[in-house]
Amino acid sequence: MEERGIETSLAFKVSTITILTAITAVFTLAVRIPVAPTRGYINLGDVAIYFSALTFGPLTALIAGGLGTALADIIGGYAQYAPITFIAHGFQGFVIGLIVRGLLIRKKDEIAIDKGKRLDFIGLVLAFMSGTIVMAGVYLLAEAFMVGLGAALAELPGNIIQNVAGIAGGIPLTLAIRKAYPPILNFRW
Amino acid sequence: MKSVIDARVELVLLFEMILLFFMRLNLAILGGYFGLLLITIVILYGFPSIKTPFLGILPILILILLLTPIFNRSGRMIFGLGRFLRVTSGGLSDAIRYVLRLSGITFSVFLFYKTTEANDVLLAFQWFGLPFRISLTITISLQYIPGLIRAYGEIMDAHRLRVPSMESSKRRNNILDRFSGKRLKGMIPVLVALVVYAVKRIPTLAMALEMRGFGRGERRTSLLKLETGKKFLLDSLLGVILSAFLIIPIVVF
Repeated sequence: MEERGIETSLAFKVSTITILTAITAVFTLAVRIPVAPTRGYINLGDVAIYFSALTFGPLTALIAGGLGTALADIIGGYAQYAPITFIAHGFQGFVIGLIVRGLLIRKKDEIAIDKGKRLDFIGLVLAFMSGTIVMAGVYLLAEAFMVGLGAALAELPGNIIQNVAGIAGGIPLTLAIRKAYPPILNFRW
Repeated sequence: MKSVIDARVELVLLFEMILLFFMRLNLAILGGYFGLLLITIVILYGFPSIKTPFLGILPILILILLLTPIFNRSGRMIFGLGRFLRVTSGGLSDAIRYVLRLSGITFSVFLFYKTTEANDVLLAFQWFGLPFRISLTITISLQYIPGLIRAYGEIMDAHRLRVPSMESSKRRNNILDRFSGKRLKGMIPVLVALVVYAVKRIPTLAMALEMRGFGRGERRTSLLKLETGKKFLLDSLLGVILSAFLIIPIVVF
C-alpha cells in the first residue's frame, strides 16, 4: 500500500493517534524498570510521550500522551487519577512538541534531532525542562488540592525521576525507530 | 454484567460525589458520606472487594497522615516532640479531611467502574458531548492494548534468548546495574521492536476506517446506543432522589 498518499486523511490521523495511545498505555502499564534503592518501579510512559512529541508534534502528543496514560491509570486501578494524568501528561507532550516544532524545525521537512546535524542543544534542553515542569507542576498542584501539600511534595521527586527516564529513553528510541523504520517520517503532518 | 443504573445517571452521581469530597464540609458529614459509600460497596460486592482499592492508596494515606500535620500548625497543640514535630488540631483535622477526600474519591470511582460496563461509560460520555473521534480512538486503543502487551512479552522473550545475560544472576547482583540507566539502555532494542510492530499497523487501520466511511462527514449511525426509555426515566428519578439525599445533610447541618 502506498503510505504517502493516505497520510493526510482524517482516518490516517485518527489511526496514528489511536496506535500511539495504545503504545503509551502499554509503556505505562507493562514496561517497568525496577529501581533498587526504593524497591519501586518506574514506568516508561514518558518515553512514549517524548517519542510522540519528537516524531509527531504537539497535538498528537497531547491526545496520545494524555489518553494513553489516563487509560493506563483506569486499567491499572487508579482511575481517580485519570483526569489529572490526562492533563499532566497531555500538556507535557504538547509543550515538548510545540517547542521542538517551533525552535528546532525551521524548514518544512527538517527533522528535529536527525543524527545530531541540526541538534539545537539549548532548544532541546528547554523543551525537556518545560515538559518536566509542566508535568511535575500539574501533578503537584492537583495533588496538593487533593491530598495536601505534604504528600504532594513527597511525590515530586518520583515524578521528576520518571521524566528524566522519559528523556533518557525518548531520544534514543526516536532516533532508533527512524533508522529501523524510515516510513515513519512520512507519517507526520 | 450489565450496568446496574443507567451509565449517564451514574456519571452525574459520580461527579456529585467527587464534588462533595472536595467541599470543605464538616468532618462528621464527610465521614458519613464515606461510611455510606463503603457500606454500599460491602453490601453489593462483599468486604474483600474493598481490599484492592484500599491497598492501592494506602502508601499515600500514610504520607498524608505523616506529612500534613507538619505543614499545618494552626489550632491548639495536641502532641509535640522537639521544635519541628508538632501535631496541632488544625493539622490533624486537615489530615483526616485529605484522607477522607482521597478515600472517598477512590471508592466512588471504584463503585462507578464496578457497576458500569466499559462500553456504557464511553456511550455516556458521548451522550454528554464527547466527540465521536475521541471515543473511537479510545475504543480502538483498548482493543490494541492486550495485543501489544502480548507482543511486548514475546519480544522480551526473544531478546532474552539472544542476550542471555540480560537477566543473569551476575547482572542482578551488580548494584550499579540496578539503577535504571543501564537497564533502560538494555530495553531500547525491545522498545524499538515493539513500536515498529505497532506503527506498521497504522496504514492498515487507516484503510479499514476509510473503507467503513470514516471521515466522509455524513451523520453516523451506531449499533450500540443508550436507551432513553422507561428505565432511563426511572434511573433518573432514582438519581434525583439520591442527589437530594446527598445534599440534605449539607443544607441542614
